[in-house]
Amino acid sequence: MEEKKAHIKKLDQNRYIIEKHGNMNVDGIIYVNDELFQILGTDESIKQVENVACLPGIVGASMAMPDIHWGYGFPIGGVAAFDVENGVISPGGVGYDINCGIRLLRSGLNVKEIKDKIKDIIDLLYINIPSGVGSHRKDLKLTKEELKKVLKKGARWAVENGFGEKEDLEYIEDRGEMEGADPGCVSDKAFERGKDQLGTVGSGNHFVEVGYISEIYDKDTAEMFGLFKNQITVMIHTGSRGFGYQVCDDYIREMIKASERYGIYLPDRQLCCAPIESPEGKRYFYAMVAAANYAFANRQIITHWVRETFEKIFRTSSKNLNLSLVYDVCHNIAKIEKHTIKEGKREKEMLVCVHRKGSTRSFGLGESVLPEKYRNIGQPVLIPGDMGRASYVLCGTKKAMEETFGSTCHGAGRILSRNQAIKASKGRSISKEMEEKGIIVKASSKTTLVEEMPEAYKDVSKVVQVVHNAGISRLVAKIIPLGCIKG
Amino acid sequence: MKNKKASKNTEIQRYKLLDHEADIRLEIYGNTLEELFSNAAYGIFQFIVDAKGKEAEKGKRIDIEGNGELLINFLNELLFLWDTEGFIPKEFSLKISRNKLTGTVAGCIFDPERCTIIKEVKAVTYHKFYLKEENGIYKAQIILDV
Repeated sequence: MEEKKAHIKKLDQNRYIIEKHGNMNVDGIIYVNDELFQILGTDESIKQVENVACLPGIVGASMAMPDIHWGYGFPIGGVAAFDVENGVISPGGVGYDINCGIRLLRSGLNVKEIKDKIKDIIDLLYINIPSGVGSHRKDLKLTKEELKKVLKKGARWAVENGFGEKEDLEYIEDRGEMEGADPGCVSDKAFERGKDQLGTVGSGNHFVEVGYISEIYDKDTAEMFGLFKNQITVMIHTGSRGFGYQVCDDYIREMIKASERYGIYLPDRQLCCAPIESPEGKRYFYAMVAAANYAFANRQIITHWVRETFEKIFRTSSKNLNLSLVYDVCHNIAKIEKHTIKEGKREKEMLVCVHRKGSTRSFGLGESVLPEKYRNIGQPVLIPGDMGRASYVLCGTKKAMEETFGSTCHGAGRILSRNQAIKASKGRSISKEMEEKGIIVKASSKTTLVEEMPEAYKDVSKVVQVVHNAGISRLVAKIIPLGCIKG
Repeated sequence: MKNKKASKNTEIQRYKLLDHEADIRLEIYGNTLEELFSNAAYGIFQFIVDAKGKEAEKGKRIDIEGNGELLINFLNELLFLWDTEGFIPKEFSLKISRNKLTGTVAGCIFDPERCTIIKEVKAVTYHKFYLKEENGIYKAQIILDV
């Protein structure tokens, strides 16, 4: 560790730099303050930032956000952009849960109107939305042909089939339909795994959570996002389920061979990759987009069941309850984007493939891909915390466009291993502790509950403070949880 | 060589859980490669489902080519069978030659009345993977994405 720290310097209050050394093609930059840097000292994530910097065609720097922790291959919280002309694309740089992401719904409800109903809402959400391993609704089973349509159309498929409203699509990254999906690049195994898992939350850190806005930091932006103090919100965290895991595994195998063929040096085999423009690179991209669209459809279907749940509890239509989308963001994805790159004093526009592995897009004002309503302000950035503390809504910035390829953090980041969490929870009832805090938690697995206990995570408030201070996104509102369902 | 022979008769630990902030890191042991593969499958499923209440009831033929890493491919194949059929492996009869694995895995199908799900394992990754022989014992490290 001491040797590794020899190359690390503090750049400013919110950033540390790992100066280029060894096989690194660029520097590494970690967005952390002193306090979070101290936590970093004990894990392997710094080495992972260095490893990513060794990949061909990397542009700018190998970056990590303050929620950085040890992943496999790329660090979690990692951002890396590769020149489309001579750079690579890596399935390990996206991860197994392709387009794992967050969706936030706002409502017209005030926290006072819901307090005595929260238990009923959580109970009914638990019945309506399959969560946990192997759980799925019997009324949603897709043929291969139908699944192909999901892969092409994403959230639009869901809306066309009665799950949600057309205007929902406007408020999803890429309108819930990334371009370039090719079901022909997806294996039969992925189809097999994907056919029963659409409309499921899954397990681990995935959830559906009801909360309320406890604080507003930026009144004007909050207003543009349709948020107000004490407003009830619903957050959905899930991704492409077994479909995405299979796509990733299939292509890692292919890329291990491809890396050899293209003579790419791999500091870690999980970083296997191929040139973006190579047949292998293109095939992976088309399959990854298919999985991303599966995930968009998944969150859209779950949204519909959230609305149905609220309609039943409040005995009125979800339109009357104003249950609408603030936004939906991906945090495990590779995107082809145009960015301005600084080369000494010169600036040039470049097409790059931005890998966000546990990182959220944070586009600032003026970006044409944003919904019209947000174009003059920047996109909503949705950052969940652990189940007991808080979540945040931030806004994308111009500075993120200049510094981080329009990227920011994605969550709190784990601090305790699962084993440590289990030890720390001995003799305690996590669900009871949550209840005492006024948070109703329903989980299908007791292990999940223990492993996901709040102290297993960094304090998300400290994480978002760093990205806010660094200017790569800015604080808009804080959400306090009232209850959630987990896998 | 002497050590190797001696260790073959010794009952060794099947796997050990090592620390990792986010995922599950296991070191797996075996007197033979086949034993190591069986122990790895056994170890992973200890984190996925508790099926002590059910005996093996059906066999699955397994043929894996060593495209990538044979052990990782084998384990991910078992995760696929679990995800799509609810198949829980219990007993292994494997044969490994060169970069090819053949054999049968006997197991049971998930029954919510008699089995308890523990957690979802997304995949077995290639990060920090190794498989080596040390003093006649085979050792491998795998990290699971959970």
